Amino acid sequence: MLEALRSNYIEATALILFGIGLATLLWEKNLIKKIIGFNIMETSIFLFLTAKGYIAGRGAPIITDGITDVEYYINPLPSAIVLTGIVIAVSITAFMLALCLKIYDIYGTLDMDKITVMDMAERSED
Amino acid sequence: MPEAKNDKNKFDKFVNWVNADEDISSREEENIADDDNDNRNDKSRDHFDNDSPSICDRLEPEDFHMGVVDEEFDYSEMFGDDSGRIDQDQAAALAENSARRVVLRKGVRDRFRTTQVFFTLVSVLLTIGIVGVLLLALSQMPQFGDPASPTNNEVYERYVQRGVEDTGATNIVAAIILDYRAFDTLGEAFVLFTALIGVIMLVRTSCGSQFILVERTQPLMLRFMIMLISPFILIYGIYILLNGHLTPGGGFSGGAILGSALSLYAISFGAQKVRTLLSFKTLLISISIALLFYAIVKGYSFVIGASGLSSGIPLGTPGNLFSGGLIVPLNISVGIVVAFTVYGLYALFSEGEV
Amino acid sequence: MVFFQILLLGFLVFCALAVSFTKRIISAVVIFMSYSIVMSIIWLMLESPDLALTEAAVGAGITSVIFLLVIKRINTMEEARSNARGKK
Repeated sequence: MLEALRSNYIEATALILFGIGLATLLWEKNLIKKIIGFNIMETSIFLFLTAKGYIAGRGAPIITDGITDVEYYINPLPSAIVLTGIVIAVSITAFMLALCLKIYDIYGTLDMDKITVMDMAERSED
Repeated sequence: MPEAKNDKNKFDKFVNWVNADEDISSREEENIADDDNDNRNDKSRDHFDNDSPSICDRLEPEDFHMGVVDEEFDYSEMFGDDSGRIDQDQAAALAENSARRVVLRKGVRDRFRTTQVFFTLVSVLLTIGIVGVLLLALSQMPQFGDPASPTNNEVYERYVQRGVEDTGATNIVAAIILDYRAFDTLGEAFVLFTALIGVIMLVRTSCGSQFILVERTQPLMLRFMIMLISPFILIYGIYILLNGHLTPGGGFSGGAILGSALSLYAISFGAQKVRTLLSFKTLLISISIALLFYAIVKGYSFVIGASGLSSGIPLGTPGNLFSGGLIVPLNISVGIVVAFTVYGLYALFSEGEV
Repeated sequence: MVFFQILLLGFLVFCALAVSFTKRIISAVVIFMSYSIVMSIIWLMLESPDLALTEAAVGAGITSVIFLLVIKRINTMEEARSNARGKK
């Protein structure tokens, strides 16, 4: 398995980054660091997709001098998909940060442990 | 200077409001007679009802006291020295006297402990499991950069070989996202718009939106340099936007650069200056018109293509600026959506309103 | 070229690990900004100039600025509240 992974080093790094982002999302106590971990997960998936579209020895998909031969250009499809994804990642991050402001209004802190305890206490009052 | 006084006035109002025990209904309207070209409505800042001030009247971490006599879990390490250990009677007395005090019981501590242990275990297993399974799947995938892999099939060949004569654009990625698969771009522009609306709703009704963050007169050097450089940044953004079908770039990159230029200007000179050009109503109406235009143009393409007719839009010679059929107007509308959304997000987080 | 790519990928993994281990939130945001820029360079090496432009303008520009604004707003509110509590 390691021999097969050695030639796909970019994709393997992307998956390791996905794991690091997931660990940051789950283990950190601060809400802002959780959002940073979520962003790391998203960009690692974009790296994986772009690496799948690369073909060795060919150039960027911009037609020059009227040469429309397939031998000269990489696969442009994953690039187009990732372009949409980047902008959606920005929208989701902005929305999550606005939710952080509201959480700070209600609980007074951004520490996940304290928020959990306060939420449990409020629920047990019913 | 009126700007500095205004800033001090607003922040001091916030601090006084936090300190005092006054009712929110007695908060006076802010004095905005100092501003010149102010086209804001006075009522737009009054987000809170007079009857329900409960949004900003919240529990603080120091309000939590323990109600158990004997335990080994020390809450004081989590909540500071304010929460000590008290008796059951003291806990009951505390809970009666003040409506804002909440008493933690023994069950909460145990539940929190078990939740913590369970959560740590599950997260370790989940992370290692997911990464392991994905790496195992990666070892079966084709090699990196292989021209014969199954992802490089006839779809890619068709787009590259007939992209120029079908769409008239030399940038194949722009041809894909604005001609072959333009419906996905419409959906994504809608996601941007929805995120902006969601952030507007959340930020305007939060307690922290009552003061302005970056309202201070910036140094003269910064203002002078920004005044010199801003036109060039705007021209660069418009160049990338209009040439999206010939060179790398397009609607998203050009729109992001334009939005950054507007935010830069708002940082140095104050958002009030940008509001003379781009008020809240103008921003929303522009984004809505751009989205509507994109939807109508794509609807026309759908109807023409499904009926088998040939569209009446001339394609022009590839390489010219005015070629590519409908790609240039679509680029412009996507650019407008992205630029105004980016500026709107900056203004919301820095001022509390656009 | 392959060595340069491996160097940049190692820097990415190091940045992603360093975000968890810093004590202050502002340094986490700055590290995230540099992560975005290096990701943009890697996309240029994978022959996608559109993505590199967009990621450079969006990742290191908009997202990080919004992070810093939210952190500053929360810090300001925290200071006002602790001053109020201190005076009481």
